[in-house]
Amino acid sequence: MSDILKVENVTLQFGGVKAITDISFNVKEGEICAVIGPNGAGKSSMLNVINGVYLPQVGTVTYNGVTRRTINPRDAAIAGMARTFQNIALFQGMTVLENIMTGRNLFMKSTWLEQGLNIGRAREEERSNRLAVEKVIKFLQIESIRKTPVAKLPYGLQKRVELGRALVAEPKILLLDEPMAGMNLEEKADMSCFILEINKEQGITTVMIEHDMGVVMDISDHVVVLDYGKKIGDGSPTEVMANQDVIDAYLGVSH
Amino acid sequence: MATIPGLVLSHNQNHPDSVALRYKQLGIWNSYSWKDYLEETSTLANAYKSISIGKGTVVAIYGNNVPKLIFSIAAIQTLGGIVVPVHPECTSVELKKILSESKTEFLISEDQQQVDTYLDIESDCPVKSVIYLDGRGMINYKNDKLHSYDELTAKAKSANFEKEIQALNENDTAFYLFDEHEDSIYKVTHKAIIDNSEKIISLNSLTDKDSIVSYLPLSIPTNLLFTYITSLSSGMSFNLPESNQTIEKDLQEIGPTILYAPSFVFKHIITSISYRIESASESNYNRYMSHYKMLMEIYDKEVSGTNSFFDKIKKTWIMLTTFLPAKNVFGLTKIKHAFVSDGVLSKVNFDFFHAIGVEIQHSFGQASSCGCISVQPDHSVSSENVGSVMQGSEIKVNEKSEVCYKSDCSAELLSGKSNIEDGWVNSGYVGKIDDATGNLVIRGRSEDIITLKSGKQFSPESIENLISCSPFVKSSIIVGQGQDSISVIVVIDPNSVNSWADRKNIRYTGYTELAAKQEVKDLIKSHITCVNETLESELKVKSFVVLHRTLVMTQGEVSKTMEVMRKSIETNLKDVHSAIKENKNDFIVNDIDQLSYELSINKI
Amino acid sequence: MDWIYLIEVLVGGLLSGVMYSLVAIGFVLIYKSSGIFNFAQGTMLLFASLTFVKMTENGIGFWTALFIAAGIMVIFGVATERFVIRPLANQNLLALFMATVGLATFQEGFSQFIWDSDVHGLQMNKFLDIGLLDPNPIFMSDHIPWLDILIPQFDIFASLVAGLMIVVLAFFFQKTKTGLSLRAVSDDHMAAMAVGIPLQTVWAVVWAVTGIIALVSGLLWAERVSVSFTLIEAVMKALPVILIGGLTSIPGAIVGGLVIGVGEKLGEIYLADVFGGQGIELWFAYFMALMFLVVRPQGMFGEKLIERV
Repeated sequence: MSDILKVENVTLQFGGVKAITDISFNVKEGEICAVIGPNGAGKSSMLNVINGVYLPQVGTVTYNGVTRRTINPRDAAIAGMARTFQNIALFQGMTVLENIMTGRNLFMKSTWLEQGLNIGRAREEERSNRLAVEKVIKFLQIESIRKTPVAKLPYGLQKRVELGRALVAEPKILLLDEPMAGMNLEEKADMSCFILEINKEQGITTVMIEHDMGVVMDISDHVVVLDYGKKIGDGSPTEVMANQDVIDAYLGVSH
Repeated sequence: MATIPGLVLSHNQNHPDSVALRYKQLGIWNSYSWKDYLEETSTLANAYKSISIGKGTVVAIYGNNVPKLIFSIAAIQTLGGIVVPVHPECTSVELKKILSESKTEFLISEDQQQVDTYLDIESDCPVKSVIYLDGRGMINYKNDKLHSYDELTAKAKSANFEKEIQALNENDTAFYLFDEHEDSIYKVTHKAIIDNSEKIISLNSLTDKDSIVSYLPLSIPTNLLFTYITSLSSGMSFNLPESNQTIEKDLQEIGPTILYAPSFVFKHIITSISYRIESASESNYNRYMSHYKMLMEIYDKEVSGTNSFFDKIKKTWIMLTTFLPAKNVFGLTKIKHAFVSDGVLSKVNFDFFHAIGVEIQHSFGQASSCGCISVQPDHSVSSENVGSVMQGSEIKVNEKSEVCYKSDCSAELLSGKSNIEDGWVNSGYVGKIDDATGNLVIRGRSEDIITLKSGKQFSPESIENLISCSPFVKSSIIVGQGQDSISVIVVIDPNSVNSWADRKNIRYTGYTELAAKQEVKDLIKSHITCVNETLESELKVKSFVVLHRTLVMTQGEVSKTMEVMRKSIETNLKDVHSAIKENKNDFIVNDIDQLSYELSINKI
Repeated sequence: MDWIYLIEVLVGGLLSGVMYSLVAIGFVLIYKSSGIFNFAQGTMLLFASLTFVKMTENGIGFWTALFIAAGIMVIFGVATERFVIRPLANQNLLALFMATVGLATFQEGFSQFIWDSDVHGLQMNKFLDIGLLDPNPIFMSDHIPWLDILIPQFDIFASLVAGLMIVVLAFFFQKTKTGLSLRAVSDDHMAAMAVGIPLQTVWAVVWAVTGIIALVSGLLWAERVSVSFTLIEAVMKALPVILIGGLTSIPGAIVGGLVIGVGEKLGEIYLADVFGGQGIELWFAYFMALMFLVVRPQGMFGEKLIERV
């Protein structure tokens, strides 16, 4: 399988603080790649560089064969990148259905006049978008909260809705920022199943930041370990677990 | 000749375009007319014929009520096959028993959960082929017996099965029904179960204008009769919810006129109202409480016929402001008849539903009686009985107080222990017949009868019903066989106790911790103390244990209709039982999840 | 108390309240989508109505002038997004607010430069043959026998137009993709970009829509007060509306407008003597808003946090 995403020599700093130092890694098409590391290791920054929220000072990201230093997040979405956020970024004023519907934004081509009058393309588009949204709702088993404002939902369900919004965009690659943070065991098990199914049955490449080592080892094909902004491990879960630097970082041996 | 496919055929002739079945999929209600219904079952029958399902072939349908499984019933029976409905949450032990003793050849299962249960016991049963509806999660399953429903039906063409349907014999077996309490399987003929539904229809004047929502699996014999068969016999529309989590919303949208449910569903509605009220604002809480009190006072007057004109106005007002909105939330607005099986409602709950205009009608039935032997008439005011015996049946109580009956709509035993005594069918329940009214009162299962050390005998269900009447109690298990006094194991209801705890500012992280809180124990204690006041001195509950978890259906701890299954509980929670016997204070439970929990026995 | 008179006062208050609401919606839209308090709202009204009046004075027909003025406001809105807001994106909000102050100054000078600074009257009944445009009030009892009250006909016309405009806007923002996008952008910029919503396009649409609202409300106000700098002061009446309704809520702007409209009229009639006679209408709305804020600082429907202004 070819590499869908290549991160090469990326360095990112805020003022004088280096968040990421000279990091390179590749993500193969169709795999689940987990980026792990202790708090403040630069994981979220890495994801933000990939979808263009942050502009790295040095280095490039090659996605789908196109090499560039930065991209507008909207262009990233058009190119088939969908993501979730560490601190859930749902539209709090909207229902679950509306939130997921915003993920279909790029599939709405008709003009506002057609939509307002519900004629022409708008009618067909509305139907197909609603169908896509409903399929995702069924997949994530959230039928019962379809019309509930997301602000009223517990944390675990909000994470699921956010995954739905990313998924409904029919992405080539999913970037998940701590999809299981703050969940209980049962919710984590559900979320792991969803991620695995998305990857294995729909073939969507997934890059995931996660803290829970158990989950990471269970479901990922490839693990990249960051610590203090540097890469200290890269390989299959078993390789990474055997890596002395990784063991040190996780067991808290002083540097 | 009345057969199930025959009913579909005749509805197609009489009113082809009226709605036969509705179900919600991807957020939209889809409906099938009787014409579509016949078309679907005929196409499906053709597909099943191609895998050589034919006369006498036993086919299990294993899942929730989804249209594909519903259509499969009539399709299989069109070919002369016998349908075995299997509960989607059944244990692997039950599944093995059902499949092997009924000699099931084909298993049509809903999704991965069911296929996994089957794979656990695959080697022990005669199934030739498993057809699954939803292949999600099974992409890596390599098993020659597994076939996708979509593949099987993709090329199937419609065919005319009219001749075959007319040639079916109404005395042929239509279903094999499993009775989980008796652990036996019954043969149900087309005629017996259809005739039984006709009795219910004529007793309550149901018509094809009515509608019913069926949200429990058809493996529950009472449910099969009251929803599926009754809708087919009367021609009313049969509605299926989107999923088990959306039932309330789906009921709201459909607004059915007929409701059938085992008693636990009504208890659940009461509990839901209660925790909504507990978590409401102070003013709403007080308003609800005062309206509730007024409502019940007026209801008592209505029953005795002494309600004044002013009471009527007062009732209209509290209905409009409080109880109609509550009724609407649960989709009860249009209900004309609400049939209850598998247990009775407590007096408080029974009266409440009647007061808000939901006509609760208790019924009693099992697989052996094709789902129903007696049912309360409309406007019944007694919560105690289950009505009088239906036409064509006779009932008596034997010397052991067991209820026995004869019926023209009964089912023959296929496998299991015989329950025929001198031509009477022993129901396995103890009870009595009210001499004045002829109404049947059910006390509980006869094997559950507890004998105290003093020799006092009683049925634990009656006390359990009183204790479980509290919205904070999900279920309770009375223990006392051979002991000096009665103890009870209490399972708290997570939803209502959660909102109660939030209201009282009690902090907890999960169910186990909440159940161990002293405040919760005090709450349960005060409730049991209240219940004790209504009990004779020997039957007063002397101690209780708040269990650290809920009872699990897939472990066989509760029945499919949420009744406690004492044998499984005694095995799974043997430490609790022995601690009660030994009269300990604190003890450790080694639970089936391999973990240990510390519990205590609380004296009253 | 004469209840017929009270109804007259209430109806009059509601009718002018609708017009306050329309102006307030202009503020809310821009604040919701980009977090900017648009100081230039008043000058937009002036510019829009001046453009229209000058065209009609030069012999252009009513509908043509309306159409062209709307077009100019759209261009103006899009240009504001492109040349003022976009370059300042990601700057702090004070900078953005100052930019709108600059925009206001520019607009004021620009309208005087291309048009003039004279006071123009606007009499729509010269162009439109609608009975309601008659300057004389009507007796409701002619139409509804038991309702013996006197209402200025133009107020009815103005609130009908404003009400229609509000309905169209509500429909636009609930039923179209642009509406969904606007609501998304107003909730969370980052997430909106990540799902591919074009932020700039949404801003441009909002500024253009605000321009059209400015034109409509400008013309309705101008009919009452004339096209001149007094228009800007009229807009200041919308500030207490926003204080009451909250800057983030369109329903709040509508209800707030009605509350202020009614409150102002009631105050004028029943409280004027207590507070020293004439002139109460100049400050009473602000007084009401202040009283309201003491009780509920986030406004009626507003979100709890007001950290941006």
